Amino acid sequence: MGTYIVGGILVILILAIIRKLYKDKKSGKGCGGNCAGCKGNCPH
Amino acid sequence: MEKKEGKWKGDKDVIIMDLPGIYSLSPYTLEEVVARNYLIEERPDAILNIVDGSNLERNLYLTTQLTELGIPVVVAINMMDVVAKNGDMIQTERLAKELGCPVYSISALKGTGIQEAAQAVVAAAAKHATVPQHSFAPSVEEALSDILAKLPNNIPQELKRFYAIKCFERDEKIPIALRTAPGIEEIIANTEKELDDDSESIITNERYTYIGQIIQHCYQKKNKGGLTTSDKIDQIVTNRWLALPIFAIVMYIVYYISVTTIGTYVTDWTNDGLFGDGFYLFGNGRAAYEEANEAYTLETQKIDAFLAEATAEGIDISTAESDPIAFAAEAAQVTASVTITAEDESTQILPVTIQDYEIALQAEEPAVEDFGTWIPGIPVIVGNVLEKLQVADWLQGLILDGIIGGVGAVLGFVPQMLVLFIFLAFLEGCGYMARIAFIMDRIFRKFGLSGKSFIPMLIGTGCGVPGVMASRTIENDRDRKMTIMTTTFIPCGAKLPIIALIAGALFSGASWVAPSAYFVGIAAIIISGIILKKTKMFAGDPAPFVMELPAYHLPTIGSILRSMWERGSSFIKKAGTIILLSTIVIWFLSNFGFTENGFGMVDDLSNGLLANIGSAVAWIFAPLGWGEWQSAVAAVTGLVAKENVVGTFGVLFGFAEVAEDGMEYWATLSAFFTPAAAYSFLVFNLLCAPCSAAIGAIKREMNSAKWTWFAIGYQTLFAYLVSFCVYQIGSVISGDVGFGFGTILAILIICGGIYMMIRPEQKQKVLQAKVTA
Amino acid sequence: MGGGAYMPLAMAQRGKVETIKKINDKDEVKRFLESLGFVVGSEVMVVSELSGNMIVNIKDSRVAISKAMATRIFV
Repeated sequence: MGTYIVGGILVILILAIIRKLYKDKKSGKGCGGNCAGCKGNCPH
Repeated sequence: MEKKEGKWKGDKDVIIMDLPGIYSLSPYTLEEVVARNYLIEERPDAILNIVDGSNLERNLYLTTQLTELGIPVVVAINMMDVVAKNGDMIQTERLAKELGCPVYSISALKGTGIQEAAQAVVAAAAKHATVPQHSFAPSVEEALSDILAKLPNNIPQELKRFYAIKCFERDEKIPIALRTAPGIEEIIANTEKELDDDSESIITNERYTYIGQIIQHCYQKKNKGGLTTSDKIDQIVTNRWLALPIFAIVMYIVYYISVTTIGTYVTDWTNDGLFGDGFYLFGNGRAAYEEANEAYTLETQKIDAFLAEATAEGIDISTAESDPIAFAAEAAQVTASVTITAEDESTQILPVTIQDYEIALQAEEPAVEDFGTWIPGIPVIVGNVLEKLQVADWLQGLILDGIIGGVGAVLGFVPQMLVLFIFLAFLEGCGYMARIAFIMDRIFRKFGLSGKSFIPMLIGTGCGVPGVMASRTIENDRDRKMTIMTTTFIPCGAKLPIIALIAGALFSGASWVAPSAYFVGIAAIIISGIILKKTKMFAGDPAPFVMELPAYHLPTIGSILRSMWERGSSFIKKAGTIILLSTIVIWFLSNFGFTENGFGMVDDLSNGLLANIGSAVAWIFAPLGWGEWQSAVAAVTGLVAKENVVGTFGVLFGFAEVAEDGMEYWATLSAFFTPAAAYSFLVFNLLCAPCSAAIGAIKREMNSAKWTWFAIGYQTLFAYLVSFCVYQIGSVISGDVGFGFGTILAILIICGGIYMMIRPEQKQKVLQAKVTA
Repeated sequence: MGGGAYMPLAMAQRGKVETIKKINDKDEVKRFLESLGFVVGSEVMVVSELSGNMIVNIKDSRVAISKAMATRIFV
């Protein structure tokens, strides 16, 4: 039983992450997967 | 580089458009054109011109152009705190009169005057346009009014002077129909002949003459001329002999403190404690535990010694456990010994009789939790919860070994990264980074490059993506392409965990490893630059280098912390998303495979799918010293995100496995590589193709698939050859491998590389001019 | 230096305030220099020099220029 609950939570988490990444890609986040150091969208 | 838009907090109807920072409205740089087009086409209701008070003369150059646009202008002089500190004075009322627009003093740093300036701009929007108060020399004014008469009538009145001046300057971005109206060119040529200068320079000079007068009337400097503090610092920092050593020392200190000392200490705690067995809160109880553990260990040693002695005397010990009484009878005369070494190196030999043996058997292993405030590590807590919920084994494995193992391995480096980010933020904020570009320019220039190529690399120390994008400022096409190709050689934030891991696990945290990675990156850039410059594709003169250097100033704690937080949180976010997903995928691929029973979970990772795929390609890396599938797979996963190299190792080497000292992960890793192979692995991952986000940026900047492939191919080939030489030569030096074919090959490659660097420059390839619509 | 002979900025003495007399080559680079404040009549002072590349004070600000530029500005 526990397997299903925990497994289910995991699957939901994964889907949420994928959705977030997809939405970020669409809104054109300048830094893609978010590298440390993109202060604002200005490359200067 | 973009415009940023927002709403004013004071009044939501007011929209604020932040335009790129520019010196003038000329049509030469992208920022200037963007700003200019916005102002001419969108016609905002008012302009807030923020000028640097410590630098008033040059900043006013833009102001004179803004007042000609026929839009209400409000000037806000920033950095008034710096001006006051220098003892200088600006007469703002007089300045307002001479410019023809309101002038406000603000200090963005201290937060003063901003409200007033904002309100003034909003008020100005309702009023009439600013009328420029300046006029040029008579002959210029004459020419301008002649041109003005020839302008078509559909130009609004308030913009007429602006267009007249731009026509006079032969501005390229002004509609060609305007510029080539009959008679205009003649007027311009006549004036140029009269004043013996080109029209643009004439206007520029005129502006500065006018500004010079304003400054004389309104600006009182306390100490005329002489060197400022910033200048004095610059004299030392950019001194021809001291500059590079100072730079090297600064970077060494930065990396030493963040990676080797503070970093390693905190990362150890994170790896062994937070993500390991656990830790004592504030160390409360550790001493007691260690004492108890030592005592326990002594007892086990006694047991082992006794059994060994018994065996030596011919007694069969296989029944020691099952039939202790019989064993005791047989071994009654056996006496073994153990040696205790005290802290002062003095030794003491203890006898172990059968009685001691039996007492020792009773000893209980001390439980960590019993000695003070023990906080179990995350894997332990999660493991217990999962057990309680009776979650299936495979899912437990996925969560503990896969997710926590992988992500935990990466997160373990967050403390180090934060410390490093603080340093980088400080270096940037105080102004030293700009000097570094200047210092590097001298080196770069010797090899046909310009210091401007170095700025993207500086930015790349944070993240390669904005670094690659920063190459846009380089006008020279060849230089720009070359910069794009080499920017990702410098270790970015994501590569830091790899460096720290290799330094910590395989070189016992030696302090030279981390800075060396940094210098390897720089060396790779310089060497690539030299080699590429000599090829027909890239030959040519380097672009001239002009850059403004801000005055040195202590950045505020707030700005440093904010920068550190921005970078840190995006790093953590990335760990929780991309890296999390990657570790799950890796875990599945590594733990599932084809066994005798068909497709399912495997016991030995070497039988999993990932091992199969990895082994198929691992041989490619054998000459580099790390031909095992684990390393090959780790390197490949780095293409998604460089942190994955660490994450993958975390999953594959059972990071979350609970061991006595928690160092098992690092210990396993160190058994995997020889020092030479480890460094070769490090170098390869530092230099090879960057993560997919960076590759995307390269593609966008190169604007050509062919060039993108060329860039990635070059980087990977370069990485391969260099790692090969590192491993071959390194192994010979460390004695692991004898001098052989590989060594000879490595030497040949090095010679080839040197040749590519010193051969004469090829004649510049004549490029076919491509006319783009 | 008095009238007649101009000296390239590249050869100017450190710490001495000079006045710009001429800038060679009418091209884009010259215009960019001008927008930074390098115009005839401006005062300029060399702060530091590194193999021909210089940091100079111009119009109260600090600008780094390469050797190629410094040889085109005459004081």
